[in-house]
This record gives sequence, structure tokens and C-alpha cells, in this order.
Amino acid sequence: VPDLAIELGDERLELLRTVRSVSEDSAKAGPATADGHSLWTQLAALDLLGVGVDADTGGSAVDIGVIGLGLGAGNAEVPYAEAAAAAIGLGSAGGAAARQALRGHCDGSLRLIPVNKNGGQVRTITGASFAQDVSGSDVPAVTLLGYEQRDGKAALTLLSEVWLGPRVRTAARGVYRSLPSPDWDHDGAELVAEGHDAEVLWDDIRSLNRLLCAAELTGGARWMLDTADAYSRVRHQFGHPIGSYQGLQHVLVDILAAVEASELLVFETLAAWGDGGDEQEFHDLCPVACAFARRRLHAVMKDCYGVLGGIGFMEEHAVSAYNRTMLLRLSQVGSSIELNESASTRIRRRQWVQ
Amino acid sequence: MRTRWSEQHLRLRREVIEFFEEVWQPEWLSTEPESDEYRAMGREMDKRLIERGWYTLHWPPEFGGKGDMIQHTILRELEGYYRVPTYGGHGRFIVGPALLQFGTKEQQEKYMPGIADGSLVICEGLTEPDAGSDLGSLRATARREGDRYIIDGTKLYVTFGHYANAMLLAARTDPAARKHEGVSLFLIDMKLPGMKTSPLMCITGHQVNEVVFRDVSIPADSLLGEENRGFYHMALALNYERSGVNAPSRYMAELEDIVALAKETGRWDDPGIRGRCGELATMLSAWRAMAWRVAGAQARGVVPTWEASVAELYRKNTNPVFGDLLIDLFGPDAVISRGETPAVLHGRIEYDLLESFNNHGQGGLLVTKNAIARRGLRLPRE
Repeated sequence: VPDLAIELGDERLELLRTVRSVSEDSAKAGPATADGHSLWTQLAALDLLGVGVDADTGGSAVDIGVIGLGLGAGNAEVPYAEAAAAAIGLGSAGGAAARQALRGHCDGSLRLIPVNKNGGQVRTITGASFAQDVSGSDVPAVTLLGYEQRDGKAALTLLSEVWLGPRVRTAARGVYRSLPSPDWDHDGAELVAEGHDAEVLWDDIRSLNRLLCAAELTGGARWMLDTADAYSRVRHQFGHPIGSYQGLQHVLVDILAAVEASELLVFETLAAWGDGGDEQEFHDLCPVACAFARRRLHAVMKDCYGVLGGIGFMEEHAVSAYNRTMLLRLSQVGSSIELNESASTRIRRRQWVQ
Repeated sequence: MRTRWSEQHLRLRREVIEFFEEVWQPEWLSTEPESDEYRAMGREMDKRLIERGWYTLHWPPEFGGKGDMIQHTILRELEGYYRVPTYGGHGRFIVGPALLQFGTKEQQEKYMPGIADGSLVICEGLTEPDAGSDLGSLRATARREGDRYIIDGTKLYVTFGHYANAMLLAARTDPAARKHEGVSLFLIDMKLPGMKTSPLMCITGHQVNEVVFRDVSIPADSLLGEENRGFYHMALALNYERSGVNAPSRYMAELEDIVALAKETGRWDDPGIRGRCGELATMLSAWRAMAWRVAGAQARGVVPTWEASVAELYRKNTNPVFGDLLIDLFGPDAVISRGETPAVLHGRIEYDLLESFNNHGQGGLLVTKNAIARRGLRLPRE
């Protein structure tokens, strides 16, 4: 377990260990079998998919973040950030269709994927980050939670049994499939919320989704820090370990500072979510935590390659697999331009004392 | 941050906010920091904090403390946020806690009441011409002669030195010892025969001082803590105020004012400017989170050494971003000084711009990174 900036407590540390361990085992299985399905099933069997969304399982947004951190540290390629965010949204929505989908999420029988039907940034979140071979009979289809603005009115709709399109070659490691344009008007589509309720729900889902992607990124960045740090002690050049040279030490310090702050920001934000939290603080901090992760953890990835040198650039090195997953998550956290703009709109007089 | 505080902490925070909202004056921001008027405001605010029992909140109850480290940090953050003028020097933050830890009963009785009631201003005599970041290399000597020490040497950049009553002095008591092991701390009066204080002006207009010692005789009981352990005592004493939590909050308040002004002038319509402000707010939030991490460790009784350096690194990384934004936002107006008619925000922009070059505190950028590499990552030495 990494030396974390945040104080998680024993139970959450155990949760982190468990998630990281099952993720690493799954990743070790290699690209051919790492379709994410076996890991998803394991997460469900360990009752982890219900954490923070199911009253019987218990847990909070912070616990969901811990799971995200563990998945990132173990380089898992499952759509947990998407599904957990959608599940939290569905939990607030109520209604029979939402309850049924939630049950499916918790027992692992379906994967909830939020989709912005009007396109834009959120659509790219959904098209990737899950890898499943639909030819396998035991692989469930995807359930989409679609948001749209049509004729000036917002709607949030569930669409089950959506089958993915053909394989898509991506920079990431697993098997990816394109997301087809489903028929949202068919009989199976069920309205979950509309109007202002749908807008609020979607805003929350999108914020949580990005934040959980940032949590996974942070887990991956912590792994990169550990990896670069360890390498700097064993790799000798000019008669000394490279970690003894000041120039390289300062690169490692920059990595450490970014990882520590990202952990703190992500978890401060998650702690503000939900009952007993602080809605305003959540919405103030969310773009900040995401903007930080987006920019600074990208720099961490670059710096990790800087420490590892040529060996890190080889496909066979473990950092390659992490890098590819993290690139995907970086793109899902949001654009720096949009996030900085969003953070700027939260600046107001007496912001920190409200 | 709010979600991590107890109800007791939140209550104090609300009280402090209400108090600062009530007493806040625009003159806190528009008055020249080195002026008599500003110092008078600082004295007045110290007095009012003392009246409320907030000035030394984190001290033990027998010395007037009424709270814990988290409450003290809440207060400090808000002092920064409201840009409250202060007067009292290092006594409240560093010397008082150091006295509690290393001082004799006599020293505590002599100095603590004066620090607690604001009448005693204490400065630090640490930095020297050839010993800044490398404090272990200091050359000022304290030579034992009977029941006295004789001080010789020069101290530089002594903040508050021109009006302090006392100094926490670091001097070498064993020239033959290894560099970190022959240093001792002393608490001395500022008006002693052989001491000469001369002004040094910072680019921001703040006065710091050079203090020269020539055969200055002090009683042996001025020694604070163990002889030759001063370097280690100082490292611990400095940790009491290492979160630096008042700094990101002060910057945030400045940013809020700047954004309000940008909205008035139409500069806010530029998405590039908005994005830059958002990026700065992000850096300030990261800095704040790191500072609170340090405070949290202190509250648990842990000495946060490298963690405090990471918080300090965020200050050093934020400064140039802030300065760059000010130039982009205000152009040539950014450099107009306080007192001139078109000065932006009464010259605060010029001040902030100049202050953004203040990256030497607690060691320069490279020294800060070296400290993190050594203590945080425990990387091998070359």
C-alpha cells in the first residue's frame, strides 16, 4: 500500500489493498484475457460495486474514491468511474426502472454507462474504458444512461441491452469496441428524470464521473511515483545511482508534490459529497480537483518517463500499460481549458468563508 | 475542508468570520505596511485577538491557551484571508511554543506573559551573510566566559528587528563541533551594548534589518534549551508555524478582488483570462490542501518536516503564475506604486507583483526541493 497523503483509516486501507490486489491480478492476466469482465465479476462478488450506492452495502463517496484509487494503482480497465457515477445518480432519481438498474449494477449483471446524447465531452467518456468481447455468451450488454436536451427540455433515459459495435484499435491496452448510435426511441427505453431534475442529476453524474476518473488517475500516478523512485535507486550512471543526482531528485520531488496534492484534492472533494457533506464545497472543489489532476498528473506521466529513460518507452515495460490506461482517464477528466474556465466561475468574494 | 472539522471547530470558525467581518477596514489594504498607521492597526488587532483569547489559542491552558492546533490554524487561515494587520513578531508563533518545549521555568515566566499580552515583540536572528539556506554554516559565535556568553557576528534580514524588544538568536558555541552540532539558541534583549541594528529595504517596501554584534555580553541563563543542540531545537520550533496556511488564503482573497475588478473593467470577458484565473485558483486550492495536511499532522503530534516543505514548494510554484497573471491582466498599470493616483487597488497589484518574486523564504526553490528529496523520498546522496 502506498504511503498516502490522506488519512484513510484501517478499514479503508484494507479496501484499497483488496481492490489494488484484484486489479493487479487481473492486469497480470495480460491483454488477451483482460477484457475486464472477470475483474468486474470479482468486484461484484466482493460486494464492491454496491459500495456508496446501495444502502445495504453501506459506504460513501470517499469509499468509492478509495476503490477508484485502488483500481488506478492496479491499472484496472473497467468502467467503474462511469458506472459508479451513474449509479449514484440513479439512486437519487428513484423509480422502478432506476431501482432495477441499480440492482443490476450492484450484482454486476450490467454495466451502467452515462452518455450525453447531444454529444460533446461526455460522449467520449463512454466510448472507451470498458473492454468486453460480445461474442462471449456470459458477457452482459451495456446499459446506457442517456442525457439529452431536446426542444429545450432535458431528459435522462435508461436504455438496456445495448450491444457494442466492432473492435476499435486504441492506445489503451484492452479490447475496445465502439459505441453504436442506439435507438433511444425503442420500447425498452425508460425515462428516469426530466426537466430541471434531469439537469441536476446529469450535472452530478458528470462531476462524479470526472472526479472518479481523477481518483483512478491519482492511483496510477502513485504507482508511477513508486516505480520511478525505485528505479532511481538501482539504476547507476557515471558511477552513482541516478537518484543521487540533484536534477533527477527534483523531478521526483515534482512527481511527489503533484501526487500528494491530487490525493488531497480528490478526497476533500469526495468528502463534501452527499449526506453530511457540503454541496457548495463539492461544486467549488470538483473542477479544481479535476483541473489539477488533468494537468499535473499528465506532467507526472511525462516525468516518470523522464526518470525511466529508454527502458520505460519499451512496450514490454509495465509503465506502458499504466500510461495507456492513464491517457484514457486523462481524456475523460475533461479538457484543461474547460476545467479552468469552470474553476474560474466559482471564484467569488468571500468564497472560502461561505 | 469544512467537512473534516468538528462542530467545535466550525463554531470557532463562524465566530472568527463574524468578528473579522465586523472589524474589517479597507485601510488594512490601502495603508503602507511599513507606516506607523499600519503598525498601530496591527497593535489594535493583536489587542482585540488577545481580548478574545484567540491570540495564543494553541498554547497550553496554563499559559492562556484555549484551543487546539486545528483551531489555531483556522484562525491563522482567516487572518490571512482577511489580510489582518499584525504587529507582534515571532513570539506568538515560534518563540512561545519553543519556550514551552525547551525553556526553563524562569524563562517561561519572564517571556510568556509579554508574548501573550502582545507587549513583547520578538524577532529571529538566524540568517547570516554566509549562512542562509545552509543554516548549519552560521558563524556568529557565543563564547562562554564565566557566567556570561560573549556574542560576535552579523545577522541579516531580521524581520521586526527595528522595533522588537527581544531576539531569538542562533550562535555557534562549539566551533570545533560538526556544523549542525555546535549551535545554541539564546533569548536576548535587543538593546544591548555592542549591538547595532541597520535597515535593509525589501523591494516590496518592507524593512528588514542587519544586526551586528561586537563583544555583546549576555547572561548565561539566556541560553534556550541545551547548549550545542540549538540547530535541532530550531528545526522543531519552526515546525510550529510551518503549515503557512495564512499565505494561500491571503492569495485567494487577492484573487477574488482581482476577479471582481476584472469583471468591472470587462477583462473578465476574455476566456483566456478566466482560464488563467481558474488555473491559479486550482494551484491555491492544492497549496491550501497541503498546508492543512501539515496542520493536521501537527494536531496529531507529528512533526511534519518534508510535508511542510511540499506546502512551501506550492508557494514557490504559485508565485510566478500569480505574477504573470497580474501583468497580463493589468499591463503597465500593474507596476504603478501605492500612493500614485492610477495605482490599481491602491498599489496592491504592484505589491503583489513584487511579492511574487519572494521565493527565498525557508530556503530557495532548489533548497526546498533538496529537503523534500532528502527527508520525504530519502533519496541517496551523490
